Amino acid sequence: MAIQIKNLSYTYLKKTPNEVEALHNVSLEIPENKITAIVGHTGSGKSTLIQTLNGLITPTSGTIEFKDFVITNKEKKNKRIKELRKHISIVFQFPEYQLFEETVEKDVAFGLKNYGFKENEAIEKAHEALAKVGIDESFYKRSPFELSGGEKRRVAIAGILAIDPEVLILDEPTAGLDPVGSKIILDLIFELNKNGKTIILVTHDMDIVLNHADHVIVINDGAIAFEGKPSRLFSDDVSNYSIEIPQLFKFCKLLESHNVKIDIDKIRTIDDLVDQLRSRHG
Amino acid sequence: MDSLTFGRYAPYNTCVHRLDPRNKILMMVLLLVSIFLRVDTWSTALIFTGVIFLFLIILMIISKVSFIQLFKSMGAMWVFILFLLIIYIFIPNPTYDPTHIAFYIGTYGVNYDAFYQSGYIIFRLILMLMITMLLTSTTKPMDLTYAIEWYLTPLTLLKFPSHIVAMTLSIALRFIPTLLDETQRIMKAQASRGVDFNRGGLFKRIGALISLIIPLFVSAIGRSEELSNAMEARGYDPYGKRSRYRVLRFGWNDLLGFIIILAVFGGMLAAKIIDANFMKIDIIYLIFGAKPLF
Amino acid sequence: MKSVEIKNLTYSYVDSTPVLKGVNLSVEEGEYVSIVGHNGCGKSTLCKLIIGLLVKDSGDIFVNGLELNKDNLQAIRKKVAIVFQNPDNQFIGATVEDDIAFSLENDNVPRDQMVSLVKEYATKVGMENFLTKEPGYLSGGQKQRVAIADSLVRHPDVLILDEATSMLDPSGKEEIHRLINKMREENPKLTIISITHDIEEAYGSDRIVLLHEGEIVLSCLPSELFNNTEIINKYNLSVPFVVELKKKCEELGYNVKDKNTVEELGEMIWQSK
Repeated sequence: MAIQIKNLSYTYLKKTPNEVEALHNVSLEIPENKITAIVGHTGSGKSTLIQTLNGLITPTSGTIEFKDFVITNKEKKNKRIKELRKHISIVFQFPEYQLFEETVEKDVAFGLKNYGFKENEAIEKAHEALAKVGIDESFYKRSPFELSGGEKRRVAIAGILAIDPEVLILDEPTAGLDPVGSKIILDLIFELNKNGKTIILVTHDMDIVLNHADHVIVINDGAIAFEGKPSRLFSDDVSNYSIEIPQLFKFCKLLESHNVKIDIDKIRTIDDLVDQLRSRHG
Repeated sequence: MDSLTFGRYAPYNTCVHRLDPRNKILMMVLLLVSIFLRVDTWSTALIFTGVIFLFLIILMIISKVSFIQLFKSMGAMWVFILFLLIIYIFIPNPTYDPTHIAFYIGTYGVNYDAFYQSGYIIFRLILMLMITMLLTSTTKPMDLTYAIEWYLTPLTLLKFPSHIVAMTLSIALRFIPTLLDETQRIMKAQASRGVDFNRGGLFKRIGALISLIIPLFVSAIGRSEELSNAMEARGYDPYGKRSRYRVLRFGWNDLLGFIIILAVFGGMLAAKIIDANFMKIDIIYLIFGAKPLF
Repeated sequence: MKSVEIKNLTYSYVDSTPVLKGVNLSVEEGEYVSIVGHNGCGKSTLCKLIIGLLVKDSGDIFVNGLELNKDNLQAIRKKVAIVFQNPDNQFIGATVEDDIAFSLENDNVPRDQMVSLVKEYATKVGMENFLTKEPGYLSGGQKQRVAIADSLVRHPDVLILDEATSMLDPSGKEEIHRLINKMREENPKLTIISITHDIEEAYGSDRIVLLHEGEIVLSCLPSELFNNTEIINKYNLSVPFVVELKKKCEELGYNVKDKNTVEELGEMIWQSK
C-alpha cells in the first residue's frame, strides 16, 4: 500500500508569537516498494514531514492514510499510533544514540518486546535482524557501547528492522560514517528494498539520490518544490534548495550540450554512461 | 515544554532590564525579606503584602513581564493551595481562638484563622513568584551567573573556586536547550521502537524512562568530553589569569533603583515596629472577631 | 620552514591497543595537508596529540621548532588551533561574541582590545551581524564559522580541521570551504591540516596523507594517490569523480594523457566521433 498524504499542514508553537509553519498544505503519495528520497535544506520541513508519517507529530490539519490507518489532526482519535509505528518505522539521524541495553541482542530485541513478543522469540528475531545488517554472532553478548561507530549504527538499524516494518524511513543514515561504513549501510538499504520494503530516505547526498532513488521529493519552506524522477530534478533549476547536482549528471549535461546523444533518464552510475558511450562507439 | 517557560528571559530593553544584575539580586533579596517580616495583626499583614503587591505590579508593567505567564504558573499552584487549606483546617492549632468558629464539619469546628493563615501564605507565595519572575525575565541567565560569581569572589580568599563554579553554571545554562533537544530526539527514537511514554503501568513507565535516561547520559558524557577538549585546546586554564569580556557596571539608575527598594524595605520595617508597639486593634479582628495570630 | 614535525610517534589506549605505531610526518609552513583514512585509523588521535589533549607514549612533536612537552603546553596551544566535528560541542560562550571572547579571555587579553578583536574576527568569518545571537539560533555552518573565528583570533600558525564539515549540509560545507580558501589567501603562512572523508576536498589540498591502522601508508600529491589503482583498491578508498571518469575514458580507448579536468575529458569525448 502506498502512503497517501493529503493537505498536510503543521505549525510549531501554534498561537504563540514564535509560531512557525513547518509544513503547508502538502499532498503527495509515497509509492510502495520504491526508494523515495526526501531532500531539502536544513529547516525546510522534511524532518517534520517524516515524523508526521508515524504519528510522532500530530498534524495541525490534513490526513495521512496507510492501509487502514488514518492519522488526522485529532490526537485523541489516533489510538492505533503504536500499532502504526510497527508498520512505518523511523531510523533517526545518529540512531546509535538510542542504544541503552546491556547487550547488543537485548537492545535489538527491545522494540519487539514493546510489541508484545516473548523474550526468547524476541531474541530469536533479534538475531535474524542482526544477521541482516551483517553483525557477527560474536557481538551478540557484548555491550553496544563497546562497538565502533559504524557497528553501533548497524545495531541501531537492526533494532528497527527487527520490528519488521513495511515502510522504513531513514534520516541521513550515513551521516558521520567513513566511505566504507557508508557503503555497508547503503547496500543494506538497497537490499531491503529489493526484498520488498518501501524505503524513504532523507539525505543531502545527491549521488545517493541519483544512483538509487526511484522517486524524489524536494521540500522547500514547508511545501513541495519538486516531485518526480531524480534525472528530472537535476535538469531543473535547483539553486534555491541546497542541492548539489551530482558531477556525473553535470558531465552528462555537458556532453549533451555538445550534441553527444545520451539517454539521460537511464543514467544512474558512471558505468551507465560508459555503456551508452560504448554503444555509440560500437 | 510549556512548564519551562516560567520566568524565561524576555529580550526587551526596559530600565529594569538595564540594571546591574548584582544590584537586581540584592534588591530581590531585600524584597523577599520584607515579605517575610513577621507582623502581629492580620490587617497590617494585609496592608504590607498589598503595598508590595501593587509595587510589584507596577514593576512588572514597567519591565514588560508577561502577566499571562504569571497566571499560568499560579494555575499550577492549585494543588498546593488545596493541600495548605486541608492542613490548616484539619490540623488543630492551639493559637486559634476556639470561640471564633466559621462553621462546623460534623462536630469539628473550622476556625476563621485557618483561612486567614493559608490565604496569607498563598499570597506571599504569589509575591515570591512575582519577584523571582521579575528577576529572571529581565536578566540574562549568563548575567545572573556573572553576578553570582561576583558575590562568590570574597570566598576565593578561603580557597573557594568561585570562578570554576560560575563557569560550570554558565556551561550548564548554555547546554540546557541542547540537552532538551536531545531528550526530544531520543524520546522520538524510542517511540519508533514501540515505547509509549504516556501510557502503561508503573513497570512499563520505568522501562520507558530507562530507555531515555541511559542514552541521554551517554550522550551528555560524550558531549562534556568534547567540550572539555575544545576548551583546553583554546587555552582554557581554570587556575590561570584570565581577563574578562563581560563587565558589570553599577550606574546611576542602579543607585536610584536601590534607593527605591531600600525605601520600600525601610517603610515595611518601620511599619512592623510601629505595628508591634501600637496597633493592637485589628480591623479584621473587629469584623470577624478572630484573634490576631502573630 | 617546518611547521609541524612529528618523529616516530606512538600512542596506545589504556588497554594497550596500539593506535599510532611510529608516525613520521613533517608539514611545511603554509602547506595544506589532508589526512585521509578509515574511522579508527588514528587520525583524530594524531590531532589530539599535536595539541596535547592526549599524551604520547613515545616520539617527538615539534611545532615551529618548539618541542611539545608539559612545560610549554600552553605555548603550543597558542600556535596550534583546532576545529572539531560537532558544531554544538565546541560552542562555549552564551552568544557569538562571548564565544570568540572566550579564547581571548584565556590569553588574558585586555578588555578594550578584546572588544575590537571580537568584532574584527566575527567580520572575517562573516558573522558580524550575529554577535549577540545564541547558538540555538545559528545553523551548523554558522556555528563552525564561529569556531574558526575562535581559533584564528589567537593567531595560530597551524589550523587543524578535525572533520570540521562532516556534520554540515552541502551549503554549510560550501560556506566552510570558501572561508578556508579566503583565510589561506589572507595569510599564506597559515598551515592547514585537515582530517576529512570528503574526497573532493582532499583532492584540492597540497598533499594527502593516507593513514591506515596507525601507520602512514602514503604521503604524496593527491593526484598521485588517486591514480594509484593498487593503493585505491587495497585500502578501499573512494576516488574523486574526475579521476574515475579519466579511468573509464581510458577503458573506452581514449588517450587521456594530460587530460586533468572534467571539461578536458568532455571535450575529448564530444570531439571524437
